[in-house]
Amino acid sequence: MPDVIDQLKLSATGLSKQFNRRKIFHELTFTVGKGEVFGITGKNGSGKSTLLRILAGVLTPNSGSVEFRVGGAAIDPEKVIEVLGYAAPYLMLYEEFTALENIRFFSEVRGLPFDTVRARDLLDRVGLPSDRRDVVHNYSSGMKQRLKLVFAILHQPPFLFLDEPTTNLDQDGIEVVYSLIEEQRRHGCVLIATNDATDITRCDRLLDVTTGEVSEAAR
Amino acid sequence: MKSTSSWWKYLLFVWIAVWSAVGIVLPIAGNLADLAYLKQVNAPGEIQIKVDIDHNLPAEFDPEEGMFVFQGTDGGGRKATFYVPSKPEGFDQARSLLVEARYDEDRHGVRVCQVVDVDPGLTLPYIPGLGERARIIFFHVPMAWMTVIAFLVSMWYGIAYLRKHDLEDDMKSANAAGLGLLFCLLATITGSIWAKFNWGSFWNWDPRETSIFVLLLIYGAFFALRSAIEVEEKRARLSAVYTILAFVTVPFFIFIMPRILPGLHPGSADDTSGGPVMSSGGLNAVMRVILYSLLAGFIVLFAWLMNVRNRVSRLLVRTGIEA
Amino acid sequence: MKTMRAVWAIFLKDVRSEVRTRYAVNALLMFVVTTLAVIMFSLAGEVMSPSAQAGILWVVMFFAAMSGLSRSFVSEEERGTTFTLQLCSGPLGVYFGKLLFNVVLVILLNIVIVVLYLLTMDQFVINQPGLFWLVIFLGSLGLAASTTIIAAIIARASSKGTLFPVLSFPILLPLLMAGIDATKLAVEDNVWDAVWPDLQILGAYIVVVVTASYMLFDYVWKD
Repeated sequence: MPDVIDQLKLSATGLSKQFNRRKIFHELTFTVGKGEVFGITGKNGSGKSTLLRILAGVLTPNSGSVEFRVGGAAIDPEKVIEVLGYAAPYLMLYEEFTALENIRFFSEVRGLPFDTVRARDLLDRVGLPSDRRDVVHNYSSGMKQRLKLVFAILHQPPFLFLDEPTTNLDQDGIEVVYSLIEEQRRHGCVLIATNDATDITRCDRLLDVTTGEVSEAAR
Repeated sequence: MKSTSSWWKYLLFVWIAVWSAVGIVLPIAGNLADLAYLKQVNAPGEIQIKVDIDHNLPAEFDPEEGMFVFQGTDGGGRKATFYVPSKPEGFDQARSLLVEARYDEDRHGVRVCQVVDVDPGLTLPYIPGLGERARIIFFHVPMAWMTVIAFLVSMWYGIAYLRKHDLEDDMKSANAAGLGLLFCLLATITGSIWAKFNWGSFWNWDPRETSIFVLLLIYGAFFALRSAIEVEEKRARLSAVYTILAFVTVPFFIFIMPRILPGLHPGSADDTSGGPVMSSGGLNAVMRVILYSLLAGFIVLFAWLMNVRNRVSRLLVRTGIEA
Repeated sequence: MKTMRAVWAIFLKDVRSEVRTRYAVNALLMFVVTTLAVIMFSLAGEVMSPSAQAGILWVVMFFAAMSGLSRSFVSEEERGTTFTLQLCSGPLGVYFGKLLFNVVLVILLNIVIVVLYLLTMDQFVINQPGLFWLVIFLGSLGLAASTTIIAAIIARASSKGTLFPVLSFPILLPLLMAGIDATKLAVEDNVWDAVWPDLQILGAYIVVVVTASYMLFDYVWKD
């Protein structure tokens, strides 16, 4: 059923990036379709996060292009952030606000109505206490990581980008991430940048950023 | 090894040298109208004027005056009686004289103090208040123009970078700005030294001085910004944005403010002679030719220096000396 | 419509953040008080002409703006939240949200400056209050407009603060000259006609800078 696959698709064509004329990666081409969990692997400094940023449209590649398709129609580059959720260690939250205030801002800035009940549900979902009144600054790094997951799934995006999603998390938190991944598989797709062996077992296909080769993951 | 012909470089240097020499050497000669103007503003003094001798009228030594008296006209058709202490050499063959003269109140004529030249060739006009100092125009004005042209070239390549993300364009933008800074300094320094002698102080905050000062600041800020950014792509992007931003605000100074605010430069709001030096009818043909020739020479010089600097930059990048 | 919501959300976020941390406001108020104190000390009872006082007023406003208005973008960069914002708002929402915040901040700031100035400088009398406040208002808009885009540039250049006045001054000079001139005229009891050219420059300046920033912000904001 090709039309089903085409309904939701992320395709990258010939992506290359260099910083100060130093080559990071070269000519990456791949597509990710609905229901897929796509792993991005590579050594430290090989450009996994750089690739995710380029896919998200925040960083401009030196060459190549990225296309998002939802419901068969290509998404305007300006509107990619509306169909995209992103969580990463280098993504920072507003630490002078509480978790609910953060969620409120992220809802409002995306033009979504803020709903306390739903916000509390989301906090429950990632295992954060929904009644905490103190600011995010006082949270541990694991709790911040959980809140970042809320940031990623808040607007129910069809494309979910997770950069090292299980860092800083305890076993309970890791389970939360994996259940999120499985849930996302049902209505969209997931891209994970990771070197963690357990994370990799969750992926269907793997991209090696250095060589540019895509392989089926051993599950 | 590719050999490049360099005859045009020699030609360029000769061109600039010759026109500079012409600008410096050509005598400045006023006319009777200038003398009348000086008398009118009560600033009687000797200036050089060029006079065509009217050989049809008597020219002889007047013992009563103790002077040699002759009739002459200037280029503008005014006539006057001239008084010289003794008959100039070669007077009978000469068609015109270049003389140092002043208006003589007692005789209602022109008192010639000294004959500078017989049958002078091309001359530059006398500009009241400037005199010999008018020659600055040939150097100062092209420098100021080059400052602006270099700025435009820098912005042009900045825009090209934003469109195509090619670091080559950014390099050209920076090199053009470097040359622009040089021209800007030269324009400021030449203007400032000249201002000391003509307007009495090195700096007067006349609107046009302010505008060149702002350009100097912008060039300085441009390089300060560049040196603060490590990543080349980011450096290229942000400096291009800054150049464009500066360009849209600076015209307030270069083109609007100097024309609506009173000032000392030609073309200011309180200057009745009309537009700025370049566009006014005030400049005579000879001055125009020298000015435009030098401007053309400097533009080619700029293009050549740009080319050299770009080649040097490319070599530095290729050898990895400079990222 | 969506952009409007984002603008408002970012504005509110910055206001709440400012209310909670008082980072910019405290620094700005202290800056204004110390600057005025230095001016008072250095004058030591000397009587200044009203036009000189109008000029000094702009010195205070300019440096106060320089000390506080870069916060809006630099704080995002310092907290590492630039990337977060890039992911949840388009560039226009960010630019106009920050611009709105800076406009409100600089207007409040300049009102405080003028009031303190009136209280401390006995001889400072405004002959044309309506015109005077109009000039201060337009000047504030212009200050906010140009410092917002420059703040974005220096925040992205990750050089905190030192470059801000260096980059801002040339861009701000047309505004400062027209603003100082107009303020002098308003203080010295001049009619509209005399101030009109300056008001035109101020108005055109604001339009030009905001339009240029609007078109260029994308390049500053995206890496």
